[in-house]
Amino acid sequence: MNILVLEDDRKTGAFIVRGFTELGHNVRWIADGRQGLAAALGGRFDVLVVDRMLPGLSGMEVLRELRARADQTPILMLTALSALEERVEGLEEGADDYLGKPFAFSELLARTRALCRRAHGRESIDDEQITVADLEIRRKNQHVTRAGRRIDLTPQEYRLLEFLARHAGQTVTRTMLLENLWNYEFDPRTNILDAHVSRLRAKLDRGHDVPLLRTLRGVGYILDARE
Amino acid sequence: MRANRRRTAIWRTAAFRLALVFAAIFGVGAALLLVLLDYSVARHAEAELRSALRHQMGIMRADAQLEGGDALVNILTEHVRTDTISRYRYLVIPVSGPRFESGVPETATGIDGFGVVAVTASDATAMGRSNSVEILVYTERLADGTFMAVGREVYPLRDLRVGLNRVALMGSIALMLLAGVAGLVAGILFLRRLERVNATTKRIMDGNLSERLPTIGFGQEFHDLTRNLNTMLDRLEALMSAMKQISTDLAHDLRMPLTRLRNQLEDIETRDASQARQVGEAIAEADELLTLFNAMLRLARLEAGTGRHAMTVVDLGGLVDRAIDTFMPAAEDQGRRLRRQGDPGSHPVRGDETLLAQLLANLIDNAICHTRPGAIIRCGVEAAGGSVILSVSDDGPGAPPEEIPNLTKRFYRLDRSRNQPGTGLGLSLAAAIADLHGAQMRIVDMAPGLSVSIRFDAGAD
Repeated sequence: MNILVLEDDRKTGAFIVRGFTELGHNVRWIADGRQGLAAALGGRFDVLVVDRMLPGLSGMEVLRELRARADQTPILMLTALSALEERVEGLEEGADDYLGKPFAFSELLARTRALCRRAHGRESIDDEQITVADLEIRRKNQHVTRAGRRIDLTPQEYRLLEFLARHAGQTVTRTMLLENLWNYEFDPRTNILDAHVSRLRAKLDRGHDVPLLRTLRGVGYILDARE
Repeated sequence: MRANRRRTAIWRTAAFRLALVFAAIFGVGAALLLVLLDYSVARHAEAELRSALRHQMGIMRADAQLEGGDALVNILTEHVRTDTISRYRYLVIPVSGPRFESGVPETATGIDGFGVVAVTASDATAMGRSNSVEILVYTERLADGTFMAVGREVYPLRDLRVGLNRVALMGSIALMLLAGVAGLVAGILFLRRLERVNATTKRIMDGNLSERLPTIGFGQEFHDLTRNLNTMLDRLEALMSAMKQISTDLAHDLRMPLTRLRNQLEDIETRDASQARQVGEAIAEADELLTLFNAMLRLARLEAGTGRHAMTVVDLGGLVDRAIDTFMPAAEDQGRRLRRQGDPGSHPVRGDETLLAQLLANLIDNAICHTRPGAIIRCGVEAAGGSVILSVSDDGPGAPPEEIPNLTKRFYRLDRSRNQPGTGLGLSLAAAIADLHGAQMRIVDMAPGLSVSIRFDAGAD
């Protein structure tokens, strides 16, 4: 991925750059909003990671400028104040995702990957059908089959599966699921996620040699057909 | 709290007691005044009478010494005959010749100087009195043996005293009544102000720490009292907010290094499965701490009321249905049954949907956490008049009634729950969210089980 990072906090910036670089991504790091906007307009990036508070132009202003110029590069906003209402505001202004500081790098990575993939049109929200290995999801009538065999899911299980399938091959973090599917900005004490996932997994993988749905301890889940 | 607001009996109010004390003080004062007045008037009147008798005697003595005891009898006879309005009574017994007797009985001869004699009833009737009257007499025996006595009835003096007493008594009663009424009015006025102070104190005790006592008035001392109390509250509030601030700052500042620690744990390349498990557990521990800190920060924001919240129309019915769907699998895995109760259908209230979802999640979380497998957790909404009541109840061990007010305190946990996982902030968060919506949260021990209900104003406006 080509990533542009607009972050004025040196520690956070260095941490992000190091993380992405280690994984072999190209990262450009700028600490000023105005210069950042120029760089974003000038270069071709797969995803922008923008801090809300920036000298020069604020993150929100950079976001507005880019969208005003019809630049649709996916933007992940970072904020020290990860309040939900700010997240909502940011998303309404055209940010593609929002992440509160401090964050785990795995969380940032999962989210930027999800954004990047979406931007490259490998899957579109309007897709009629999502296919992951031998799993087929027909969105119109929420019809799910694996190896041709019909799987009956509850509405919640279906929404979970669809979200995972749209991010097939990528790590989907717990917070991504909680935020997107349940609109929870917190992780309840009762482990609701694992319970839903284990039910879905039972329906999905029972009787199949290759498990599709895996749990990544401490990070989240992944739906793919790796051996 | 409620019990204190109960209407107290009138005789137990300070106003009534104040009035009583006023009346008693005035009564005693009036009685003292009465006795004093009576005594001094009586003394004065008697002294006047004695001096009048002495004066009369002086005239008689002069007449007798000048012209002899017989002549005195004649003079007096003439005097009594012509002066019909004289109130004096006489008895003159010369050595020889007829005696002069006008109203003083012969018993007076036994008196030397001043003395009191009683007049017989018939004589008294003649004098226009129905009862026997007493007469103060002054006697003197001249050198020639003539006995002289002059007297006057005591009854005008008696009448005066009786009249005076009556007036004084009536006055005292009137004064006592007046004092009582004045005391009652002053007491009620004072108490009304005190009641305002009391009500404010209650609100402050209920957690509204920023409120201040109104001035009681009535004088500098009361003014000083309220001012001092308010200064005390200022300092208390400052301390409390400093404490809250410290815990919030701590949570805020610790999140950063904790996240870095977590990131470093993630970066560890493990050699085998057991190492991977250990690292995973360490990450889970770090996540637990982060969850706690995030909850503390969320609570701080909610309590400060600084966040902008998206107040829209939220259907509590739908919210409950979704929460049950969300929690059902996990609850089942932990052996709890989750049931919908109350009125089905939609129950719109005004609120922030995300916060209300969190409130409900916290209550269900709490119920699952504090019950044993097999417990039934009921979650529902019902309309009650102009309100909508959201409730989550369980059939678990509940909580001792005296502990219930403490349940919403941050980090407060019942002794038996100390070893259970959880932040100790769930109900504090729920209470803060309810508060933000102007809804009242009520926790009741159902014996068995605990019921938490939240009363919202119904409707979309």
